[in-house]
Amino acid sequence: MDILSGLWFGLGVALQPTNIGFCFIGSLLGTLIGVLPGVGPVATIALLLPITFGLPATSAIIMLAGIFYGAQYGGSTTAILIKLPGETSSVVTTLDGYAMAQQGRGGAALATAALGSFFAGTVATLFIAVAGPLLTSIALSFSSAEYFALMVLGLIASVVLAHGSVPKAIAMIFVGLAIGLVGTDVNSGELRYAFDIQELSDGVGFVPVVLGLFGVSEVIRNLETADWRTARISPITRLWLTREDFRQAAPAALRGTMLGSFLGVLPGGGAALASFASYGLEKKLARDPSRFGKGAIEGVAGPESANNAAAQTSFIPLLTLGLPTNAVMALMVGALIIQGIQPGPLMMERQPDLFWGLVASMWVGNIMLLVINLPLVGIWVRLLKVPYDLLYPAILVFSAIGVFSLNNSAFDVYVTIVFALVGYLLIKLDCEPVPLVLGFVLGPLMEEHLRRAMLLSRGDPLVFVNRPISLGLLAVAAVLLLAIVLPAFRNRRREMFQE
Amino acid sequence: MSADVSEAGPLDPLRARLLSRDVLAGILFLTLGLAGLWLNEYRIGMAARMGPGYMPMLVFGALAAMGGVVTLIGLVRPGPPVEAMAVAATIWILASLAVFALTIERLGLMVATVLLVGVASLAGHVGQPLRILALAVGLALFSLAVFVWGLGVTMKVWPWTF
Repeated sequence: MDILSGLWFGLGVALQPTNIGFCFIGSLLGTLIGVLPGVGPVATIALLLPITFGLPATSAIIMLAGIFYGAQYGGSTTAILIKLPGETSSVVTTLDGYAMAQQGRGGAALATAALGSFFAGTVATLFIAVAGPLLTSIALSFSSAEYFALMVLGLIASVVLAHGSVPKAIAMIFVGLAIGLVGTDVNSGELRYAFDIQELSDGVGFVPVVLGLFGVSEVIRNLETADWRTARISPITRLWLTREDFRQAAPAALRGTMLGSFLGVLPGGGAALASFASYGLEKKLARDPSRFGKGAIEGVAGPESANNAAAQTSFIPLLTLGLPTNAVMALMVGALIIQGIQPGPLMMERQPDLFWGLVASMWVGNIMLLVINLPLVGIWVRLLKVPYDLLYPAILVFSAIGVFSLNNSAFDVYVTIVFALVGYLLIKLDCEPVPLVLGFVLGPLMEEHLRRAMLLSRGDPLVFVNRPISLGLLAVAAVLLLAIVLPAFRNRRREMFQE
Repeated sequence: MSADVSEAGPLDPLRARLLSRDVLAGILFLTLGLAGLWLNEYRIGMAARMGPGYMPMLVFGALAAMGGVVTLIGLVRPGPPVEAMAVAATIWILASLAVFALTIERLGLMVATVLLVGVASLAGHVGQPLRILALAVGLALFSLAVFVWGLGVTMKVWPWTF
C-alpha cells in the first residue's frame, strides 16, 4: 500500500463511529490528565489497560494514543496559567508561557501552544506515514542477530538520551530483564524463579507491575508534597494572536516541529527531550536572547510544537520495529500483547487497519484537541480546583479493580502492592522505573532472539559483529556508552535536562 | 539536588557516604544479582544450545556487575543522601490495597471498594468521616457502573451475591 492510499484507508478506519468515539475519549482524557497535576499519561494508560481488554485492538490503541498526545495539549494549559507543568514535556513552557500570562497575554500563549501543537501533529502524522513503511521494509530483512542488536541499541539509547544516572539506569534494565525471566521458559517448559507459586507460572503480570510502579507509587510520592489548593490562576484575555505574535511564533513552531519529529524517533528522548532541545534552539537563534524567560512567544511556540510532534513520532519505532522507546510505548506493547498482537514489522501487513487507522486517528485526534482545548479552556482551568485528596482514592480504586478484573485474581493485587513499594523505594534511591519496564517488556523477546542467533551461528558470538547491520547497531550503542564517559557530552546532557 | 548535600553535614563522612542514594542502590542491585545467580538451579547449557539457566546467568551476572559499578561510583563520588520516606502514607496506601485484595473475593466489590477508600483516606486529608463515606460510596457505585455494567466483568458485587 502506498502512502496516500494507506492514509486514505486509515482515515476510513479512524472515521468509523466507534473509533471516532474512542479517539474522542482518549483525547478528552488526555487533556484532563494533562491539566490535573500529579496524574500523568503513563499512570492513566496503565490504569486503562485492563479496560482495553474487551475492546477491538484498533479502538483500544487509538484511545490510548489519544491519551498520550492529548496530555501534551493539557499539560501546556497548566504550565501557562499557573506555572505548574502537567507533564515533564511542558516544563520549559512554564518559563515564557507563565510570564506571558502574567503580562495579560495568557490567551495568546494558550492559542500559540494549541495551534503549534496542531500544526506539529499534522506534520508528524505525515512523517509517520512516510517513515513507517520505509523502516518496515528495512526491518523485514532483519534476522535474530539484527533484532537482538537493535534491542540492545534501543535500551542503551533510551537511558543515555534520558535524564538521570546512566549506570543506575542500565542496572534497572537488568532488573527488568530479570523480572521478565520469571515463569515458564518457552523452550524447555521449565519453571524459573516461580518459587512454587502457581500464579507465577505465566510470569509476572504486566498490568500489576506497571500499575504498581507508575500508578500507586506515584500516589505515595504525590502525597508527600501534595498542596495544590493554592493555585492562583491568571485571568485569560483574548484567545488569539496579534499579527506580530504570529510573525514571531510561526517560524519557531516550524523549527520545533522538525526538531520534535526527529527527536521523537530516538529512544528515550521523546516529548520531554524535544521540548528542552527546542527551547535551547530558539534561545540560541533569537536576536535578543534576554527576552527569554520574560514572555518570549517563541519559547512557547517552539517547545509546544516539538513535544507534540515527538509524542507522535515516538510511535514509529514501535509500529515498525516493535521497539518501545519510552514508558508509554512499553505500555502500548503491553496493550497490543493483551490483544494477542506482537508489535513489529509484520503489523503493517497483517493489521493494516491498526497501523493506518492509528496514524490517521492521530490527525483526527489533533483536530478534536484543538476544539476541546481552545474554546473550553475555562472548564479545564476549573478542574485545577479538584483537590488531590479526592483524586488519589479514585486512582487507587481503579488500580485495584482494574488489576483484579483482568484474571479475577487477588494475587495480582498483591503483585501490584509489591511493585508499588519497589517503585517508591527506587524513586527514593533516584532510580528511574522506565528502564525497568523497557527491560521487562523486551526481556522474553531478547532471550528468544539471542538464543536463535546463537543457535544459527553454532555458539559463535561473532555473529553479531560479522553481519553489517547488527555491527552498525551495536557500534552506535557502544559510541553512545563511550560518549557518556566524555565530560563534554556529559555536561551538555546535564545542561539539556536541567534548563 | 545541591541543597541536599548540606544536610549530610552533621553525619560523619563515612556514614553519609554509605547511606548515599548511589551506594544503597548499588548494594541493592548487587544483592539482587547475587541472589539470582545463587538461585539459578537451572541447566545452563552451551551458547549454541542454551538451557533455561543460560539467560538468567547472563542477566543476573550483569546485574551484579552493574551493582558493583554503581556502588563504587557512589563511594568515589559522594552523592546526595536518601530523602526521608513518607512511611505513614506508604503503609496506609499499601494497606488499603491489601484490604481490597483480602475482601474482594469474600465480600464483593462494593464492600471492598468502600474499605479501600476508608483505609486510603488515612494517608491524606480527605476530610470529615461523612465526606470520606460519600466519596467511598460514590466511587463504589461508579466502579459498579463502569466495570460490571459497562464492561461486563463478572465479579462478586455484594456480600450476599455469588
